Amino acid sequence: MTVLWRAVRSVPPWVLATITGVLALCLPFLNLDYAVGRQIQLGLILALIVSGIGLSLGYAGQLALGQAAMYAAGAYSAGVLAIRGVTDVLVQLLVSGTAALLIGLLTGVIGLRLGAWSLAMTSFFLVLMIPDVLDVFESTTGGRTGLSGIPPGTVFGSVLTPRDFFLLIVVVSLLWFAVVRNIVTSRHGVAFQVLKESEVLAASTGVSVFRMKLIGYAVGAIPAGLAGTLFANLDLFLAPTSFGLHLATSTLAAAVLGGMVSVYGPLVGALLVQLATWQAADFQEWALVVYGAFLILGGVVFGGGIAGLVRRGIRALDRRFLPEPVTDDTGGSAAGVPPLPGEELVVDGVSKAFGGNQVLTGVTLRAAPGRVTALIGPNGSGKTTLLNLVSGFYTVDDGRLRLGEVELTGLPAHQVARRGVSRTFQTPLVPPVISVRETVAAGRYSADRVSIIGALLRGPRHRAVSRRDREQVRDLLDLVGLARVADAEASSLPLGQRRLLEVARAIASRPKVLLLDEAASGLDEQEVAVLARLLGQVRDAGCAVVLVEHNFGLVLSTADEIHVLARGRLIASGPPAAIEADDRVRNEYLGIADEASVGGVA
Amino acid sequence: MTLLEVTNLATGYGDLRAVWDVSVHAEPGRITALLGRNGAGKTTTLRAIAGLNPVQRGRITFDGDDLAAVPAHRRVARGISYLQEGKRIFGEQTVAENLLLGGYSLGRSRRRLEPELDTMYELFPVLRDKRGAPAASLSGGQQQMVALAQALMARPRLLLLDEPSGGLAPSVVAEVLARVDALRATGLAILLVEQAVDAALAVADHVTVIDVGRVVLDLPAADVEDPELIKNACMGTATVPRT
Amino acid sequence: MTLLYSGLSLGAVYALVALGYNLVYLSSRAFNFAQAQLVMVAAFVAYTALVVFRLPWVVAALLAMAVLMVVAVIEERIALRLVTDHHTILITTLGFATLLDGAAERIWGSEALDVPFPGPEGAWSLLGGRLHTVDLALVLLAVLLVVGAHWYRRRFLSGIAIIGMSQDREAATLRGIDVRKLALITFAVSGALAGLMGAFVGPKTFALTTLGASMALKGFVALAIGGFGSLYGGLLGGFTVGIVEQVSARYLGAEFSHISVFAVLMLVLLVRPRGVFGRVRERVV
Repeated sequence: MTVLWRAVRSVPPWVLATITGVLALCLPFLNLDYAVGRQIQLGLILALIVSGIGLSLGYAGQLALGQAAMYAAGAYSAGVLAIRGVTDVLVQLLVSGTAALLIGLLTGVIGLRLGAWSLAMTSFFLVLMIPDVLDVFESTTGGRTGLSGIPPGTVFGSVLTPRDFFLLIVVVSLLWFAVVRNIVTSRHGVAFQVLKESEVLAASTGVSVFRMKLIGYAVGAIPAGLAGTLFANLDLFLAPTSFGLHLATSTLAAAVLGGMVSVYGPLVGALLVQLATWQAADFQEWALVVYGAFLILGGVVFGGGIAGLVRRGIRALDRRFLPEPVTDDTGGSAAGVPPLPGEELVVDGVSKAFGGNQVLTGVTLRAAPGRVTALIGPNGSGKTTLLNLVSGFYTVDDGRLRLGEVELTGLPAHQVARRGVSRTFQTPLVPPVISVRETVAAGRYSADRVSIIGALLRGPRHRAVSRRDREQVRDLLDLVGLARVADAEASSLPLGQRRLLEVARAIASRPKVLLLDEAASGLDEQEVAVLARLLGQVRDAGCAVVLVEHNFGLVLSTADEIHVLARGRLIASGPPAAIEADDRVRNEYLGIADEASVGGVA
Repeated sequence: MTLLEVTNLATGYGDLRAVWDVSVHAEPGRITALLGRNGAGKTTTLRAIAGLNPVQRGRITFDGDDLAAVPAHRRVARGISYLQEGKRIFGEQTVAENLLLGGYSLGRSRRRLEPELDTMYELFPVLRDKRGAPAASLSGGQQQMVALAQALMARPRLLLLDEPSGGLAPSVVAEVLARVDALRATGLAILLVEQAVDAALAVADHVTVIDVGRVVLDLPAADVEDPELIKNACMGTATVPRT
Repeated sequence: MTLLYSGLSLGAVYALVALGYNLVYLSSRAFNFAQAQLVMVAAFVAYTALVVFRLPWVVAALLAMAVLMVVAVIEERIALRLVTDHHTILITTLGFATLLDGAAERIWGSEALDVPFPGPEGAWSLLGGRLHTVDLALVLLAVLLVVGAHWYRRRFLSGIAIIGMSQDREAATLRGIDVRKLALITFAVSGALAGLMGAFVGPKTFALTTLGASMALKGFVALAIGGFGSLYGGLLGGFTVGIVEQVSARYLGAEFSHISVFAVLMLVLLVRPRGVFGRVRERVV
């Protein structure tokens, strides 16, 4: 069994995908029964729509119900084009895909302004409006009576036989799923998952949250548009009733059933829903009830759908038959930190108030490259606020922030990150589902930029960057001693390892400044020692390290320069020895700066 | 007579264990100061007593009853009132509404709670003038008064105070702690978490110092001979001699 | 004037849906996709009680309230209580809405059913327009309930507690508030509200399974105009949507009623994404 399973696991995933693809290409030539063939074609069309939902909801995390509207837009643009004499299906596909993308971009830009609910409702509204819009353009679309008399599709002038058309549907579907695969297995796929779990983390790795959500939603519209063209050429008749709420809910249910965070889950879900619709005579009557139940069940118990179940099954078999990776608790290794040329971080007269509460007043400090600068102070003194101002999560009321000669004041978080400011979080932000390796790779997002188009076409730049990604991630994992758990689920690591993982992710972006927010909290002495050594290495690599820390011991042993904040003002700065000896710091840190009370109680 | 008895408590957040082994107690009419540096586990201990964090090991008893099965909102009705750090009041609501919410656990109608407000306004006169204003519009010190009055509205027997002086100017800190000192006379048991060691020592009857989730010092305040030793313990630099 | 009256009465329906959204939003910080479906089911329950069992109107209204309260509690238990993140709640409540759509179609069919109204059938002339009793009743109901809800949240301790809990659940717990119980109760109240609405809305719009989606969307537009959590905002937003819908249907054509409301939604999201009465808060890491 072990040998068998190991053999199965050694087959690369693309082999299975290729075999499936080749089998699918054979389908049109099998002389299938007409009804069966038609159901397969409808199933593939549905799968395209569902796959768009997967991109939008599964990856970008945006519930969009408008796929039915994009589908309608695609179908009608193809139908109208055909009637006007443009029967070439390839042209129709191009037009319908573009039309769907444009609708997606337009409604996305507006719908995303308020957040998840408004995008869901805006896109849902599109579906409700389909019959009305068709009515408005009744002379072209046929309104409620439908659009008939669509001439059969052609490719380069020759009319497609039913078999040719079947083949075309298969080819379009295969190409689309290849596109999805290329996107989600690239760094953008990881960025999507990070974004879904934590927008804060996504922004701090240089991902533009708004843009990424918009891309997921709008690109998810394209396959629905393509599906529309295929449907128009399959039936050669269109009516508004084909594109209603029923379709919207059935496609969403299919996505939940198949599993959305997956390339092929939507395909499986769509085929199953199509099969149920066809085979179970009573299904239509109960369809809405069943879809509703699926959506609830999907949300409550089996979030990953069928794809999630398969993934869990594979993991269970791995545990059963493959040797357990040994975790390396000692951490650290001989691998060095690559050179990280730093820049000076300048905080100049920064002030910030929340409501009537003045949190920071005129704070000025510098963090030099190749040095560890610590920021300490009692609770509520404004340390974390300062960190959030530097990383762009808040905007300063007054004062300026600079990185070397580059102005940071007023930049949003992802722009700050792209200019070389990297950070960790008080509670490690390690999203579930993704692996240790991918977590570190997520940090590389802004280091070597590759466009989504580049990733999708697997161009030379994408391949070069992917190779660098793999090498650097491997080196960093070696550095923090997590190489042996590289494929484990990152969120399942114990706290100490999650903290080291965060540092590795932060270094992966090749930062000029590294900000650490309470990186030692919750660690035992041995783990603190590993962290201290790592910080020393990062400093020696040239990076400017800023440490916001409670652990006085760690601060005294690693910092070159300490700044003390109290009630939003900087009260002392200097090397550790001077700060430790400063009575004023002791009193601010531990008591009231009131001479009479110092030592006055016994 | 011990009202609150925490024995060998271990607690935290998920797998982040912040408190490993803490024992602390509080008695009516006495102030116990729970001291320690940032991140020592003081707040987590208070949260466990209030029922916000689970007890992973050890016991918390209040008035002789084990609190393990009592949910957080019921502990308030039993007489445990927790004033969180950072002035966590309901900023969008008025001062009066904040105080009314403070008395929620008494299970009375609003009409029967109104007279209690006057008691609080006598204790904190500044709040009377501001009673119709949104709490967020008040100054930091005034917000702390709202939080304290809100906590007192529940008529607690045990008051958990988490850094009442946090982020306040020295003069306001003195005023807040003078209030806390005065409350002792009403027979209230107080567990005070503070970073302002001198100020806390000035009012405390008993001192417990914790570090990295464990008790390192536990003694009556009267036995504190040199506050610098406490400070050293709190800084985590106990070996560093006084300069 | 007649146009204005019918716009207001239709707007009252949306305002009431928005009120339901707001109650759940304030107590659970969640968006209940199925709020309008609850109203739709209530209209059918009212129909069954009035037409099939020939019960008096008041009894029918009470019955609808009781039934919908139970349905709402079931929804809270299966679609909200077990789910923690807001994205998933959107899916599970949409699932519940779909389930109600499907179940209503199975039970009552897909034909529109005429729900009788107890008041006088006719219409009165008022300020140069014709006003139906149902329309007047709907507008009054919406105004009364919204004013009542506003008064309740300022006047009663539990109302103050719901607002407190909408700001900080942990702090509310520490004041002795059982936040889960209060959220459940508020959810049940939003169900009862839907039940009461059903008895009023049914006579205006007929009982129809496809009613839910359109009501849900228009109610959402009312909410977007008013801003999440703003009770009066939702009321004014509802009236605005109703009037826009009626005016555009009258002057541009029936096919433009949805499109115009959609244009209003786009405009609001573009110009004031937090709603006319909403406030902007800085996000916190």
